[in-house]
Amino acid sequence: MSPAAVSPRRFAPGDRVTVAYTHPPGHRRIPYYIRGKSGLVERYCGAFPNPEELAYGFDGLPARHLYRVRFQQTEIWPTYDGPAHDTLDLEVYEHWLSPAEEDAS
Amino acid sequence: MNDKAAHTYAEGHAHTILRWSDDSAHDIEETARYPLMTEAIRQILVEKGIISADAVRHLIEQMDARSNVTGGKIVARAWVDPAFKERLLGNAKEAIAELGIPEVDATHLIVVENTETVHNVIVCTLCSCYPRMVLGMPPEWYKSKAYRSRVVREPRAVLKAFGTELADNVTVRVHDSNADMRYLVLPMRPLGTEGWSEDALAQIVTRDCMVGVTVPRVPAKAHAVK
Amino acid sequence: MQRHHDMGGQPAGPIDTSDHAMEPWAKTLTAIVGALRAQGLSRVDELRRHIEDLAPQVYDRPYFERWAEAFCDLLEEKGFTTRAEIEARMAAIKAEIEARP
Repeated sequence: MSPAAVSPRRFAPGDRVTVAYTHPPGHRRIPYYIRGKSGLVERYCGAFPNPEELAYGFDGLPARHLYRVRFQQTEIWPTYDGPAHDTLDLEVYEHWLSPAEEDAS
Repeated sequence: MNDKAAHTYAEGHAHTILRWSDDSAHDIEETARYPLMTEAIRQILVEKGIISADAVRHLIEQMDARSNVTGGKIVARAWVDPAFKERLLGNAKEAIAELGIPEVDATHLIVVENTETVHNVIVCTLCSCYPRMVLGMPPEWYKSKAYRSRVVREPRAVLKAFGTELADNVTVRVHDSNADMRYLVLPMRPLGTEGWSEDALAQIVTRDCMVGVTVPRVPAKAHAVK
Repeated sequence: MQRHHDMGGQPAGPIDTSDHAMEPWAKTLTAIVGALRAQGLSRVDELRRHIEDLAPQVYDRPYFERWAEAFCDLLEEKGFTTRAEIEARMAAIKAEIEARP
Protein backbone atom coordinates (compact mmCIF):
# COMPACT_ATOMS: atom_id res chain seq x y z
CA MET A 1 0.00 0.00 0.00
CA SER A 2 1.25 3.49 -0.72
CA PRO A 3 -0.22 5.90 1.78
CA ALA A 4 -0.29 9.58 1.03
CA ALA A 5 2.73 11.66 2.03
CA VAL A 6 3.28 11.56 5.75
CA SER A 7 4.89 13.90 8.18
CA PRO A 8 8.40 13.17 9.48
CA ARG A 9 8.57 10.67 12.32
CA ARG A 10 8.62 12.15 15.76
CA PHE A 11 10.07 9.16 17.58
CA ALA A 12 12.89 6.65 17.25
CA PRO A 13 13.65 3.28 18.85
CA GLY A 14 14.84 3.82 22.39
CA ASP A 15 12.78 6.97 22.98
CA ARG A 16 10.77 7.00 26.18
CA VAL A 17 7.17 7.91 25.37
CA THR A 18 3.89 8.33 27.21
CA VAL A 19 0.49 7.23 25.90
CA ALA A 20 -2.16 9.93 26.15
CA TYR A 21 -4.54 9.57 29.04
CA THR A 22 -7.78 10.37 27.24
CA HIS A 23 -10.94 8.41 26.54
CA PRO A 24 -12.46 9.72 23.34
CA PRO A 25 -15.66 8.10 22.09
CA GLY A 26 -15.69 5.89 19.06
CA HIS A 27 -13.35 3.36 17.56
CA ARG A 28 -9.88 3.54 19.07
CA ARG A 29 -7.14 0.93 18.93
CA ILE A 30 -5.40 2.00 22.12
CA PRO A 31 -6.58 -0.23 24.98
CA TYR A 32 -7.78 1.48 28.13
CA TYR A 33 -5.19 -0.27 30.30
CA ILE A 34 -2.24 1.37 28.51
CA ARG A 35 -3.49 4.96 28.43
CA GLY A 36 -1.33 7.27 30.49
CA LYS A 37 1.47 4.69 30.72
CA SER A 38 5.06 5.22 29.64
CA GLY A 39 7.37 2.88 27.80
CA LEU A 40 10.19 2.66 25.30
CA VAL A 41 9.84 2.68 21.52
CA GLU A 42 10.95 -0.79 20.45
CA ARG A 43 10.66 -0.26 16.68
CA TYR A 44 9.00 1.76 13.99
CA CYS A 45 6.26 -0.27 12.28
CA GLY A 46 5.41 1.90 9.29
CA ALA A 47 2.74 4.36 8.28
CA PHE A 48 -0.87 3.26 8.01
CA PRO A 49 -4.24 4.86 7.34
CA ASN A 50 -5.81 5.81 10.65
CA PRO A 51 -8.19 3.04 11.79
CA GLU A 52 -10.08 5.55 13.94
CA GLU A 53 -11.27 7.12 10.70
CA LEU A 54 -11.44 4.01 8.53
CA ALA A 55 -14.03 2.68 10.96
CA TYR A 56 -16.43 5.42 9.86
CA GLY A 57 -15.86 5.21 6.12
CA PHE A 58 -13.18 7.87 5.80
CA ASP A 59 -9.96 7.05 3.98
CA GLY A 60 -7.82 7.50 7.08
CA LEU A 61 -5.27 9.57 5.20
CA PRO A 62 -2.72 10.98 5.58
CA ALA A 63 -1.24 7.80 7.01
CA ARG A 64 -0.11 7.90 10.63
CA HIS A 65 3.18 6.63 11.97
CA LEU A 66 2.85 3.47 14.07
CA TYR A 67 5.36 2.44 16.73
CA ARG A 68 5.77 -0.69 18.78
CA VAL A 69 6.22 0.40 22.39
CA ARG A 70 7.48 -1.82 25.19
CA PHE A 71 6.16 -1.37 28.71
CA GLN A 72 7.25 -2.89 32.02
CA GLN A 73 4.33 -4.87 33.43
CA THR A 74 5.04 -3.50 36.90
CA GLU A 75 4.49 0.01 35.51
CA ILE A 76 1.13 -0.93 33.98
CA TRP A 77 -0.37 -2.91 36.87
CA PRO A 78 0.34 -1.72 40.42
CA THR A 79 -0.13 -5.23 41.80
CA TYR A 80 1.56 -7.19 39.01
CA ASP A 81 2.46 -10.55 40.45
CA GLY A 82 5.52 -11.48 38.43
CA PRO A 83 9.15 -10.51 37.91
CA ALA A 84 9.89 -6.84 37.35
CA HIS A 85 11.50 -7.64 34.01
CA ASP A 86 8.25 -8.95 32.42
CA THR A 87 7.09 -6.70 29.58
CA LEU A 88 4.12 -5.95 27.37
CA ASP A 89 4.44 -4.69 23.79
CA LEU A 90 1.76 -3.05 21.76
CA GLU A 91 1.47 -0.70 18.83
CA VAL A 92 0.65 2.94 19.33
CA TYR A 93 -0.12 5.55 16.71
CA GLU A 94 2.01 8.65 16.86
CA HIS A 95 -0.88 10.97 17.67
CA TRP A 96 -1.40 9.09 20.94
CA LEU A 97 2.24 9.54 22.00
CA SER A 98 4.22 12.32 23.56
CA PRO A 99 7.79 12.38 24.86
CA ALA A 100 7.82 11.06 28.42
CA GLU A 101 8.43 13.67 31.10
CA GLU A 102 11.86 13.28 32.65
CA ASP A 103 11.55 12.08 36.24
CA ALA A 104 12.40 14.88 38.63
CA SER A 105 13.99 12.59 41.22
CA MET B 1 -40.75 -39.23 9.34
CA ASN B 2 -40.76 -35.45 9.58
CA ASP B 3 -39.82 -34.57 13.09
CA LYS B 4 -37.83 -31.42 12.45
CA ALA B 5 -38.96 -29.24 15.27
CA ALA B 6 -37.94 -25.62 15.06
CA HIS B 7 -34.90 -25.04 17.22
CA THR B 8 -34.43 -21.72 18.86
CA TYR B 9 -31.02 -20.34 19.60
CA ALA B 10 -31.35 -21.23 23.25
CA GLU B 11 -31.88 -24.88 22.42
CA GLY B 12 -29.09 -24.84 19.97
CA HIS B 13 -27.96 -28.13 18.69
CA ALA B 14 -29.61 -28.93 15.42
CA HIS B 15 -27.37 -31.37 13.65
CA THR B 16 -29.27 -32.44 10.59
CA ILE B 17 -27.41 -31.01 7.64
CA LEU B 18 -29.83 -30.09 4.89
CA ARG B 19 -29.01 -29.44 1.32
CA TRP B 20 -30.29 -26.01 0.39
CA SER B 21 -31.27 -26.06 -3.23
CA ASP B 22 -29.72 -23.03 -4.83
CA ASP B 23 -26.89 -22.70 -7.28
CA SER B 24 -24.30 -23.42 -4.63
CA ALA B 25 -26.04 -26.43 -3.09
CA HIS B 26 -25.31 -24.84 0.18
CA ASP B 27 -25.45 -26.99 3.28
CA ILE B 28 -27.04 -25.37 6.26
CA GLU B 29 -28.09 -26.69 9.60
CA GLU B 30 -31.67 -26.61 10.69
CA THR B 31 -33.56 -23.66 11.90
CA ALA B 32 -31.23 -22.21 14.51
CA ARG B 33 -31.07 -18.44 14.38
CA TYR B 34 -27.54 -17.84 13.24
CA PRO B 35 -27.34 -20.42 10.47
CA LEU B 36 -30.61 -18.97 9.18
CA MET B 37 -29.29 -15.43 9.46
CA THR B 38 -26.11 -16.31 7.61
CA GLU B 39 -28.00 -17.98 4.78
CA ALA B 40 -30.48 -15.08 4.59
CA ILE B 41 -27.65 -12.57 4.31
CA ARG B 42 -25.86 -14.71 1.75
CA GLN B 43 -28.95 -15.00 -0.42
CA ILE B 44 -29.82 -11.31 -0.19
CA LEU B 45 -26.33 -10.08 -1.01
CA VAL B 46 -25.88 -12.53 -3.90
CA GLU B 47 -29.32 -11.74 -5.34
CA LYS B 48 -28.58 -8.05 -5.24
CA GLY B 49 -25.28 -8.59 -7.01
CA ILE B 50 -23.33 -7.15 -4.09
CA ILE B 51 -21.19 -10.25 -3.74
CA SER B 52 -21.00 -13.41 -5.79
CA ALA B 53 -21.64 -16.95 -4.63
CA ASP B 54 -18.31 -17.87 -6.23
CA ALA B 55 -16.44 -15.34 -4.11
CA VAL B 56 -17.96 -16.79 -0.97
CA ARG B 57 -17.09 -20.31 -2.07
CA HIS B 58 -13.55 -19.28 -2.91
CA LEU B 59 -13.00 -17.71 0.50
CA ILE B 60 -14.29 -20.83 2.22
CA GLU B 61 -11.78 -22.86 0.23
CA GLN B 62 -9.05 -20.44 1.18
CA MET B 63 -9.95 -20.77 4.85
CA ASP B 64 -9.92 -24.54 4.53
CA ALA B 65 -6.50 -24.41 2.91
CA ARG B 66 -4.94 -22.32 5.62
CA SER B 67 -3.76 -23.92 8.80
CA ASN B 68 -0.98 -23.87 11.32
CA VAL B 69 0.92 -26.33 9.10
CA THR B 70 2.22 -23.24 7.32
CA GLY B 71 3.50 -21.77 10.55
CA GLY B 72 5.10 -25.08 11.45
CA LYS B 73 7.02 -25.12 8.18
CA ILE B 74 8.31 -21.60 8.81
CA VAL B 75 9.49 -22.53 12.29
CA ALA B 76 11.12 -25.76 11.15
CA ARG B 77 13.04 -23.91 8.41
CA ALA B 78 14.18 -21.31 10.93
CA TRP B 79 15.40 -24.08 13.23
CA VAL B 80 17.56 -25.73 10.58
CA ASP B 81 18.75 -22.61 8.74
CA PRO B 82 20.18 -19.84 10.97
CA ALA B 83 20.52 -17.40 8.07
CA PHE B 84 16.85 -17.87 7.19
CA LYS B 85 15.98 -17.32 10.83
CA GLU B 86 17.78 -13.98 10.85
CA ARG B 87 15.97 -12.91 7.68
CA LEU B 88 12.68 -14.05 9.24
CA LEU B 89 13.25 -11.99 12.36
CA GLY B 90 14.30 -8.98 10.28
CA ASN B 91 11.54 -9.01 7.65
CA ALA B 92 9.04 -11.82 7.99
CA LYS B 93 7.09 -10.95 4.85
CA GLU B 94 10.11 -11.32 2.59
CA ALA B 95 11.39 -14.42 4.36
CA ILE B 96 8.13 -16.33 4.17
CA ALA B 97 7.84 -15.42 0.50
CA GLU B 98 11.05 -17.45 0.03
CA LEU B 99 9.03 -20.51 1.11
CA GLY B 100 6.35 -19.73 -1.46
CA ILE B 101 3.88 -18.57 1.18
CA PRO B 102 1.84 -15.63 -0.11
CA GLU B 103 1.08 -12.80 2.25
CA VAL B 104 -2.54 -12.54 1.24
CA ASP B 105 -3.58 -10.15 3.96
CA ALA B 106 -2.78 -6.48 4.09
CA THR B 107 -1.52 -6.90 7.61
CA HIS B 108 2.12 -7.31 8.43
CA LEU B 109 3.76 -10.23 10.13
CA ILE B 110 6.38 -9.94 12.84
CA VAL B 111 8.07 -13.10 14.10
CA VAL B 112 9.22 -12.94 17.70
CA GLU B 113 11.79 -15.37 19.01
CA ASN B 114 11.70 -17.30 22.26
CA THR B 115 15.11 -17.62 23.89
CA GLU B 116 16.55 -18.89 27.15
CA THR B 117 15.63 -15.57 28.72
CA VAL B 118 12.53 -14.38 26.81
CA HIS B 119 9.17 -16.06 26.29
CA ASN B 120 6.61 -14.43 24.00
CA VAL B 121 2.84 -14.78 24.08
CA ILE B 122 0.31 -13.20 21.72
CA VAL B 123 -3.17 -11.77 22.27
CA CYS B 124 -5.57 -9.24 20.80
CA THR B 125 -7.39 -7.72 23.75
CA LEU B 126 -9.62 -5.47 21.63
CA CYS B 127 -11.00 -8.14 19.30
CA SER B 128 -9.20 -11.31 18.11
CA CYS B 129 -6.61 -10.33 15.54
CA TYR B 130 -4.55 -13.39 14.71
CA PRO B 131 -1.93 -14.28 12.06
CA ARG B 132 -4.38 -16.25 9.94
CA MET B 133 -2.15 -16.36 6.91
CA VAL B 134 0.24 -18.64 8.74
CA LEU B 135 -1.90 -20.22 11.47
CA GLY B 136 -5.38 -20.53 9.97
CA MET B 137 -8.39 -19.68 12.10
CA PRO B 138 -7.91 -18.85 15.78
CA PRO B 139 -9.09 -21.26 18.48
CA GLU B 140 -12.07 -20.39 20.67
CA TRP B 141 -9.93 -19.76 23.73
CA TYR B 142 -7.90 -17.10 21.93
CA LYS B 143 -11.11 -15.19 21.22
CA SER B 144 -12.52 -15.70 24.71
CA LYS B 145 -13.18 -12.98 27.25
CA ALA B 146 -11.10 -14.84 29.82
CA TYR B 147 -7.96 -15.03 27.66
CA ARG B 148 -8.22 -11.52 26.28
CA SER B 149 -8.75 -10.05 29.73
CA ARG B 150 -6.27 -12.07 31.71
CA VAL B 151 -3.19 -12.75 29.60
CA VAL B 152 -2.05 -9.10 29.62
CA ARG B 153 -2.62 -8.83 33.36
CA GLU B 154 -1.39 -12.21 34.62
CA PRO B 155 0.40 -13.96 31.76
CA ARG B 156 2.20 -16.46 33.95
CA ALA B 157 -1.04 -17.69 35.49
CA VAL B 158 -2.57 -18.02 32.04
CA LEU B 159 0.44 -19.91 30.73
CA LYS B 160 0.18 -22.21 33.72
CA ALA B 161 -3.41 -22.99 32.74
CA PHE B 162 -1.97 -24.28 29.46
CA GLY B 163 0.63 -26.32 31.32
CA THR B 164 3.52 -23.92 30.74
CA GLU B 165 5.63 -22.72 33.64
CA LEU B 166 8.55 -20.40 33.22
CA ALA B 167 11.37 -19.66 35.61
CA ASP B 168 11.54 -16.23 37.18
CA ASN B 169 14.69 -15.40 35.25
CA VAL B 170 12.76 -15.72 31.95
CA THR B 171 11.09 -12.51 30.82
CA VAL B 172 7.50 -13.06 29.76
CA ARG B 173 6.67 -10.67 26.96
CA VAL B 174 3.03 -10.22 25.99
CA HIS B 175 2.21 -8.82 22.55
CA ASP B 176 -1.19 -7.19 22.26
CA SER B 177 -1.74 -7.08 18.48
CA ASN B 178 -3.95 -4.01 18.63
CA ALA B 179 -3.04 -2.48 15.27
CA ASP B 180 -1.73 -3.57 11.89
CA MET B 181 0.97 -6.03 12.95
CA ARG B 182 0.36 -9.72 13.47
CA TYR B 183 2.65 -11.88 15.53
CA LEU B 184 4.02 -15.40 15.26
CA VAL B 185 6.11 -16.87 18.04
CA LEU B 186 9.26 -18.71 16.99
CA PRO B 187 9.64 -21.24 19.80
CA MET B 188 12.98 -22.59 20.94
CA ARG B 189 13.99 -25.81 19.30
CA PRO B 190 13.73 -28.49 21.98
CA LEU B 191 16.59 -30.73 23.00
CA GLY B 192 16.44 -34.25 21.62
CA THR B 193 15.73 -33.13 18.04
CA GLU B 194 19.31 -33.08 16.82
CA GLY B 195 19.57 -34.37 13.27
CA TRP B 196 15.83 -34.36 12.65
CA SER B 197 14.53 -33.57 9.18
CA GLU B 198 12.59 -30.37 8.58
CA ASP B 199 9.38 -32.37 8.13
CA ALA B 200 9.85 -34.14 11.45
CA LEU B 201 10.56 -30.86 13.18
CA ALA B 202 7.48 -29.21 11.66
CA GLN B 203 5.31 -31.92 13.17
CA ILE B 204 6.15 -30.96 16.74
CA VAL B 205 5.44 -27.28 16.13
CA THR B 206 1.88 -26.94 17.38
CA ARG B 207 -0.40 -23.96 16.90
CA ASP B 208 -0.38 -23.31 20.64
CA CYS B 209 3.40 -22.91 20.75
CA MET B 210 3.29 -20.41 17.88
CA VAL B 211 0.78 -18.35 19.87
CA GLY B 212 3.09 -18.76 22.83
CA VAL B 213 0.91 -20.53 25.39
CA THR B 214 2.95 -23.73 25.18
CA VAL B 215 6.38 -24.88 24.04
CA PRO B 216 7.18 -27.68 21.58
CA ARG B 217 7.58 -31.09 23.14
CA VAL B 218 9.45 -34.11 21.88
CA PRO B 219 7.09 -37.10 22.06
CA ALA B 220 8.27 -39.74 24.51
CA LYS B 221 8.78 -42.42 21.88
CA ALA B 222 10.27 -40.14 19.26
CA HIS B 223 13.36 -41.17 17.44
CA ALA B 224 15.40 -39.49 14.75
CA VAL B 225 13.55 -39.43 11.44
CA LYS B 226 15.47 -39.75 8.20
CA MET C 1 -14.58 4.92 30.97
CA GLN C 2 -13.51 1.46 29.95
CA ARG C 3 -15.75 0.22 27.16
CA HIS C 4 -17.18 -3.25 27.24
CA HIS C 5 -15.07 -4.68 24.43
CA ASP C 6 -11.86 -3.11 25.77
CA MET C 7 -11.29 -5.83 28.27
CA GLY C 8 -7.55 -6.13 28.79
CA GLY C 9 -6.88 -6.35 32.50
CA GLN C 10 -10.45 -6.97 33.57
CA PRO C 11 -11.03 -9.82 36.03
CA ALA C 12 -12.22 -13.01 34.38
CA GLY C 13 -12.68 -16.66 35.16
CA PRO C 14 -10.91 -19.79 33.97
CA ILE C 15 -9.98 -20.25 30.33
CA ASP C 16 -11.55 -23.16 28.49
CA THR C 17 -8.52 -24.40 26.59
CA SER C 18 -10.35 -27.03 24.55
CA ASP C 19 -10.61 -26.89 20.78
CA HIS C 20 -13.92 -26.56 18.95
CA ALA C 21 -14.42 -27.14 15.26
CA MET C 22 -15.69 -24.12 13.39
CA GLU C 23 -19.37 -24.47 12.56
CA PRO C 24 -20.23 -24.36 8.86
CA TRP C 25 -22.40 -21.27 9.20
CA ALA C 26 -19.57 -19.43 10.95
CA LYS C 27 -17.21 -20.26 8.14
CA THR C 28 -19.78 -19.08 5.59
CA LEU C 29 -20.35 -15.86 7.52
CA THR C 30 -16.62 -15.20 7.58
CA ALA C 31 -16.49 -15.75 3.83
CA ILE C 32 -19.43 -13.40 3.22
CA VAL C 33 -17.76 -10.69 5.29
CA GLY C 34 -14.53 -11.29 3.39
CA ALA C 35 -16.30 -11.16 0.03
CA LEU C 36 -17.82 -7.78 0.86
CA ARG C 37 -14.40 -6.58 1.90
CA ALA C 38 -12.80 -7.94 -1.25
CA GLN C 39 -15.29 -5.89 -3.27
CA GLY C 40 -14.04 -2.78 -1.47
CA LEU C 41 -17.50 -2.32 0.03
CA SER C 42 -16.47 -2.54 3.67
CA ARG C 43 -13.38 -2.31 5.83
CA VAL C 44 -12.41 -4.53 8.72
CA ASP C 45 -12.33 -1.39 10.85
CA GLU C 46 -16.03 -0.76 10.15
CA LEU C 47 -17.02 -4.24 11.32
CA ARG C 48 -14.87 -3.84 14.42
CA ARG C 49 -16.61 -0.56 15.20
CA HIS C 50 -20.04 -2.17 14.84
CA ILE C 51 -18.99 -5.04 17.09
CA GLU C 52 -17.74 -2.58 19.70
CA ASP C 53 -21.01 -0.66 19.53
CA LEU C 54 -23.18 -3.70 20.27
CA ALA C 55 -25.12 -3.68 23.52
CA PRO C 56 -23.11 -5.56 26.16
CA GLN C 57 -25.53 -8.47 26.33
CA VAL C 58 -25.25 -8.93 22.57
CA TYR C 59 -21.48 -8.51 22.64
CA ASP C 60 -21.28 -11.28 25.23
CA ARG C 61 -22.75 -13.82 22.84
CA PRO C 62 -20.41 -16.37 21.26
CA TYR C 63 -17.87 -14.91 18.87
CA PHE C 64 -19.54 -15.53 15.51
CA GLU C 65 -22.98 -14.66 16.80
CA ARG C 66 -21.75 -11.22 17.73
CA TRP C 67 -20.11 -10.97 14.32
CA ALA C 68 -23.44 -11.82 12.70
CA GLU C 69 -25.32 -9.19 14.71
CA ALA C 70 -22.68 -6.55 13.99
CA PHE C 71 -22.64 -7.47 10.34
CA CYS C 72 -26.41 -6.95 10.13
CA ASP C 73 -25.87 -3.46 11.57
CA LEU C 74 -23.09 -2.79 9.08
CA LEU C 75 -25.19 -3.94 6.11
CA GLU C 76 -28.08 -1.76 7.23
CA GLU C 77 -25.85 1.27 7.75
CA LYS C 78 -24.49 0.86 4.24
CA GLY C 79 -27.97 0.53 2.79
CA PHE C 80 -27.40 -2.96 1.36
CA THR C 81 -30.32 -4.45 3.26
CA THR C 82 -32.31 -4.01 6.45
CA ARG C 83 -32.85 -6.05 9.57
CA ALA C 84 -36.46 -6.41 8.52
CA GLU C 85 -35.46 -7.84 5.15
CA ILE C 86 -33.04 -10.24 6.77
CA GLU C 87 -35.56 -11.41 9.35
CA ALA C 88 -38.19 -11.90 6.64
CA ARG C 89 -35.79 -14.01 4.61
CA MET C 90 -34.88 -16.03 7.67
CA ALA C 91 -38.56 -16.80 8.21
CA ALA C 92 -38.94 -17.82 4.57
CA ILE C 93 -35.95 -20.12 4.70
CA LYS C 94 -37.16 -21.65 7.92
CA ALA C 95 -40.59 -22.24 6.44
CA GLU C 96 -39.13 -23.94 3.39
CA ILE C 97 -36.96 -26.20 5.54
CA GLU C 98 -39.89 -27.16 7.70
CA ALA C 99 -42.02 -27.87 4.65
CA ARG C 100 -39.61 -30.45 3.37
CA PRO C 101 -40.62 -34.07 3.74
